[in-house]
Amino acid sequence: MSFHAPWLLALLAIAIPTIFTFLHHKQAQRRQAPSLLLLAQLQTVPNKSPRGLTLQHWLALAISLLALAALTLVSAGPQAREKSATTVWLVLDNSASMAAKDRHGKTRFERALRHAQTHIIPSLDPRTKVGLVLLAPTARVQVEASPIGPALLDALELLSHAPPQAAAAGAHHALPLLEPRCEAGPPQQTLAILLTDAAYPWPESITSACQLELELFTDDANNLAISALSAKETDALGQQRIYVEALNTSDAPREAEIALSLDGRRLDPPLKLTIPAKQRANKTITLDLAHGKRLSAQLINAPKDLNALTQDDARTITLTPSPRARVLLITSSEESYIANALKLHPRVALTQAAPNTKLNAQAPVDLLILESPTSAKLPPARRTWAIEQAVEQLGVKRLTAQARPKISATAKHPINEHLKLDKLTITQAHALNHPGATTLWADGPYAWALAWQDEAKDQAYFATGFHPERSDLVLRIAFVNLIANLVEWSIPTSKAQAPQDAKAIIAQAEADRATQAESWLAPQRGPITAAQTTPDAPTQTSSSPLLSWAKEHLWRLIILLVFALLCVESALSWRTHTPWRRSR
Amino acid sequence: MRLDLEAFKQIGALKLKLDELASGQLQADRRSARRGRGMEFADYREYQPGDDLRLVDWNIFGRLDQLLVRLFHEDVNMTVHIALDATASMAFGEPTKADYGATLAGALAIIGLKNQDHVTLSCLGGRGPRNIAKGHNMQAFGSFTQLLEQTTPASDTALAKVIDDQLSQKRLDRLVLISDMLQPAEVNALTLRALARRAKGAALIHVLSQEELNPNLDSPTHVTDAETGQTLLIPGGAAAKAQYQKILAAWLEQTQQQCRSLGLGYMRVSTQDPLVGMLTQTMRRQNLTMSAHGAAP
Repeated sequence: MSFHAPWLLALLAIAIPTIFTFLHHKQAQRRQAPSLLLLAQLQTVPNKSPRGLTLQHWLALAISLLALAALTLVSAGPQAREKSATTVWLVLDNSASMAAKDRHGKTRFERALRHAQTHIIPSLDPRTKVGLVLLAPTARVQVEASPIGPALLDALELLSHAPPQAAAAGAHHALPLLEPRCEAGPPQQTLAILLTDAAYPWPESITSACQLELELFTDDANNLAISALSAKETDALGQQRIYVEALNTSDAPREAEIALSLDGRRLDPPLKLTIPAKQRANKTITLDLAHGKRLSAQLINAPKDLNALTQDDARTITLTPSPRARVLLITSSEESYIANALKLHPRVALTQAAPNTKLNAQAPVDLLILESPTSAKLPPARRTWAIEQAVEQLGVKRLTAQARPKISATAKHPINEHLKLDKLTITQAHALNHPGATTLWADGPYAWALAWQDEAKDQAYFATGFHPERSDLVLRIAFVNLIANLVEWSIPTSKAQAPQDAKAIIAQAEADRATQAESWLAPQRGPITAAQTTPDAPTQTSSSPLLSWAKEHLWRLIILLVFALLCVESALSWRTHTPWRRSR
Repeated sequence: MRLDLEAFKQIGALKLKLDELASGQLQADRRSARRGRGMEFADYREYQPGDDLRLVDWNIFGRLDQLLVRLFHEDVNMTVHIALDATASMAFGEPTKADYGATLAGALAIIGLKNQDHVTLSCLGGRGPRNIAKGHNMQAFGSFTQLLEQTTPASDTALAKVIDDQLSQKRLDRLVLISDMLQPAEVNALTLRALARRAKGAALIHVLSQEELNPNLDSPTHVTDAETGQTLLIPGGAAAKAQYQKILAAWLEQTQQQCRSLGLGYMRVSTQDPLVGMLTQTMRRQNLTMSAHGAAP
């Protein structure tokens, strides 16, 4: 068994003062006094049998120590290898890229070899059969699987004197070699550990009879890379917001020059980024680019000694139009303000229908706007905006409101972003009564609800007790923002999931590769941050290594701190309240 | 017993105070009830054959033709008894209550002996070759120091009984008991009554150490009584400390109240208190000592 944070095991030392306190207070509390005349008047402790008390407190100590051990082990993050795995194949990447040196002067290959010798092999059950596969110059089985013995250890020792060499393929090409061996063994009992820098194109998918485990050796090398490139359409005229992010793994800040090109045609001037040590930096620029073209970002003028990998120096994406929101507006007005506003929105595919029009109930829409009530069967919609008269279709009850109410408060909600509706004058409005609703979107005077936002049956709706046209909202920029927010609210978005382990990283890398035809970024060890996956990330991401380390281990530290306090508290309570042995 | 030279000088200027008439046997400077030779005129009486002619007041004889003899208050010394509690409980504290009490007793003995008082020192309880020393001048001081140094605190002794046994039946002028009074309340009452009965001016010097004033009650402890050997489990903690301080305050108040009701002087001292200041100031305020020269020392 190995640990994710083995240093935390040192905190088992908390047990020493706990035991010391227990023993110390068990024996030392005896003394003589001039007289018991006064002390005898103090309230004495109930007379319990000394044996029972001792047993009780030994048990308390044992439970505390067990709990401490359990919490420490959990905090240290045990990484139990599959004990059921009776055969382990070490797939050691000895390709040329593994000769890249880190800042300590050690090659990735040396580190991978040492990791296998000092961590992987000692952690295995002695009865486990271990085999060795090398990649360069071609994938081959160097040592057949056998119980750990001189053959394997000598082979590993010999490899320490053999420099990496050019390889024909990546580490995953060793898997076909292992397939028959994995299939021959009991199911799920053969483990293949890939020790590699993954500096080669990764396959679309990996299917193997072996259990796979990936050990990456890339982080410590001095490297510059383009870690993210994305584009987002900002209007219908072809304006794109380009997000470029670069990574620096060296110990010093670096200047990076990134050339952008569109279908091979260079866009000048190149972007210049100053990347802090061991961090990422990004830049967002806005360009007029047509859809369907391929945008590439390429690191240029990167010094070789600072750029261990060249495979991650470029990224290419295809500029695709952003998804459109399918909006169905049901209105009796031919000159609807809402319709006109939606027509101007670049990402809206608008369908306008009169209330008595027969609708295609099978065609789902993203946003259904009920400006007028209708008796027609409505198509399924992810989002619905019901205005004034139509709110009763959603089960929201209208109440008569005073004339010319004003909005007194608005809730925090995506629909409400960049809106300032305070003191909006409305000529005619209804208060809305909907006890089941969860988010009061806008409030009138005397606690009237003027708008609700709620979700029912997997459909979110937004009900307003007033029509924008019967207020001065349509005269404000807030109206455009409201429409824009509603469109954004209705467009389905996929949230990026931060992968937590190597397999998830592989899956993420595969997903990345599916969208990038020409280059592929070597998967990074550790979770992919939001900055990598979210195009509209802040323009500068920087955090100190200490801070990120603290964030990563904070919960462990908190658990241990709490438990340490509990130990001290219980020790003190033994000392102050608990007799260890009754006097005879 | 330890007294430095400066302290010795300071207590040399003191004298035990006596508000009533002295009852000593030897001539000294304290006024007694007896008529005889002295400095202070007391009365006249008619001449009787055998009277010293030097005592006849010839002026009166010249004016009134009567032979009258002048009578004077006889000046004698006073009888002082210093009783030092030497039971096992006095062996606690830093310095121990026994050491502090012995130094105090020695200092009081010096004050008495320098003024020709008849001083008796007795150790109540304790272990030593003897338990009493007496004298009326500084030549006897050696026997006092010997007694104090050879007596070690030991055993559990009822002070009232020892006082009755050791002290003479004759009523003393001064009786000073130096004790921690760590005995049951009824025994304490008997002891104080015995003191009041045995002397015209009796006083209790209540010596307490940090063991009593602020004992270590941080944790539950098995405490063994030094005198009786009894062991009790005493709870610790802040609540126990607070409770103890209340008990202590009540006990001290009760002891002081008993002394007051019996007309006994009462002085509470801690073993941390400086001895000279206690002799020159505290005792003076309690009317136990005074300046030997009539002025404040």
